[in-house]
Amino acid sequence: MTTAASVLPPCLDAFPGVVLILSGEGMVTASNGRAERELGGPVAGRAFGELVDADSSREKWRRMLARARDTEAAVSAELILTSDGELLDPRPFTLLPDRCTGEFWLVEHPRDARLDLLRDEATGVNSELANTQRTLVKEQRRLRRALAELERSNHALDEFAHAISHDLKAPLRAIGNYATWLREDLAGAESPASPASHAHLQRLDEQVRRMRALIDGAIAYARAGRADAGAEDVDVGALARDIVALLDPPASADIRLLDLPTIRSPRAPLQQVLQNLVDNAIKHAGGRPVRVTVDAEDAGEFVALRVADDGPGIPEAQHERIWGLFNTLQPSADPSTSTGIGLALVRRLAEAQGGRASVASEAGHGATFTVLWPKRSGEPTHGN
Amino acid sequence: MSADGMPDMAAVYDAYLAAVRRGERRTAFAVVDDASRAGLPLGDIYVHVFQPTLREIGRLWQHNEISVADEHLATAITQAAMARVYSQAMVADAEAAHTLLAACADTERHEVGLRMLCDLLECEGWDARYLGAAVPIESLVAMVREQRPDVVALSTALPAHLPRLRAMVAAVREVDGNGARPPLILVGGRPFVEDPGLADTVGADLTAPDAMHAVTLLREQFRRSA
Repeated sequence: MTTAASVLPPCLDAFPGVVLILSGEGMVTASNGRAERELGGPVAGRAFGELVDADSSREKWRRMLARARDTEAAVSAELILTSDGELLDPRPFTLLPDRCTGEFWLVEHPRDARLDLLRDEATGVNSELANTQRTLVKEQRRLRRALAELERSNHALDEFAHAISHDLKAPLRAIGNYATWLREDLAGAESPASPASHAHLQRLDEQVRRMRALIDGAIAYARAGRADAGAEDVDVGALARDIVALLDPPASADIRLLDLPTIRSPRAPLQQVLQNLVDNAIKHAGGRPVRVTVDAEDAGEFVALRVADDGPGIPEAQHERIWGLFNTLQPSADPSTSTGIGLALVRRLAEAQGGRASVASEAGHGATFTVLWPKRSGEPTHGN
Repeated sequence: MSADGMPDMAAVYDAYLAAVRRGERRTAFAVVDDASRAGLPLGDIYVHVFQPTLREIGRLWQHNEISVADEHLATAITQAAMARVYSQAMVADAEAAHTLLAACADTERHEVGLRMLCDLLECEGWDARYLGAAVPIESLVAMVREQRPDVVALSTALPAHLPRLRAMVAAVREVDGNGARPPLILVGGRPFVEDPGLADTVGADLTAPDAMHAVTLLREQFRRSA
């Protein structure tokens, strides 16, 4: 126990941390050279308190020194050293009182620099995470606002469609009624009406029917893909048979249903799509013999439903136009039922399900309509 | 619970501080989640729970009762807890009235104050964007030029970084506003708490001792100019 004050063994020069001997008053009397290197100047003869950051650590240092002096026991604390106004990172030190000399050893705890690096990295990652979280929250709020806006505009559209449907159909109903009464009046009149008058009344009825079909079609188009009932297992073959029975095709139409799968889909839009396509093929034949074939092909997540006919076909220049609303290819044989909405509705319904509708045709060589319909609609798809 | 059914702020603070001191992240989250669910607004949690907790953690370090590692952990937990409260907070849904860009002159360790300011302002209907710590001056200038914020907030916890902060202020001042009103420059951090006069020295317009005071100050500034 005869350590000479103010002299450090040379082997401590290699110690990976600051080692100082301080007088009882806290003046530096010896150093292993580390503090000089890190602070960039001599430390011997200076009060150690001057090397400590004024605001945060000096008071802490005073308490540390006083406690070691009072208790004659080792005291540990983290201190921030300062050099030319630059603050070093906080470092842990232990102050060891030497009872024989009344001096103190101040020893820095050697640290693993990689742990400091790790800590800084963790702090950086934490900060980036905080940024990302806020960005995410802001985006979510923006999406919520957009969704609310969309719901508002959908609601307005629903109201609009309802008003249109109601307000346009009411006068139409009245017109139909007046036509009926007029016919009754003519039948009861003393002088019989001319055949031309009867024909005019007939046209009037047809136009009323056509107008009603247009309104219904437009409303169906506006509402397509919204508020669908849930998906169910649909046997497409059985559905197609029901459709054919419902359409009650003329003898000139030969309708063949090939192998059709069972898929998971809302029933109503699928029925509408197939019905419109088959109906379209029959009408487009204009009463001439036509063969309509309905079949299906696997297309990954989709099933490709095909309705092919050997009717007059569609000139290529018209292939895009036919999908437009109120676009009819030619004056129909029966204007009261041809609205120009059927194919527009097919495409809209298919797209609402995440699918597509397309046509392949050559004038004079029939047409094949293909609808890509999801095998499992209303459920998340994988892989894209 | 207090008489109005709101959780007692002091109790929330005590529970949060205790959890943070033990380094129990999940317990700390549960404390603020409960407070948030019970209807304590974000501003109150920030000002009466997070801010005093971090101050107390700093004080405990000064008194040698905890280590820097504890302080880091407390900051990290509080950063994450802030993000939780922020994501649950009711933020004004309208178009932002004013914009603020914030940058910290130091490392990430000292950014919590600026984040608090940004979050509190968002709750007031501002669009406040925190750019990060140690943002290069040219990036800051580019963002100011592009976004034309009403306010630029800069902070440092270390006196050694004051020259850098001064350079940031000068660079923001030089941005050609193209006729737009130049941004107000707000500075904060420990050196300005100890000597508010430093704000003038670095060329800033405003300073505030903490995030809540900064919000009050900006609210007054923009009410006056409105």
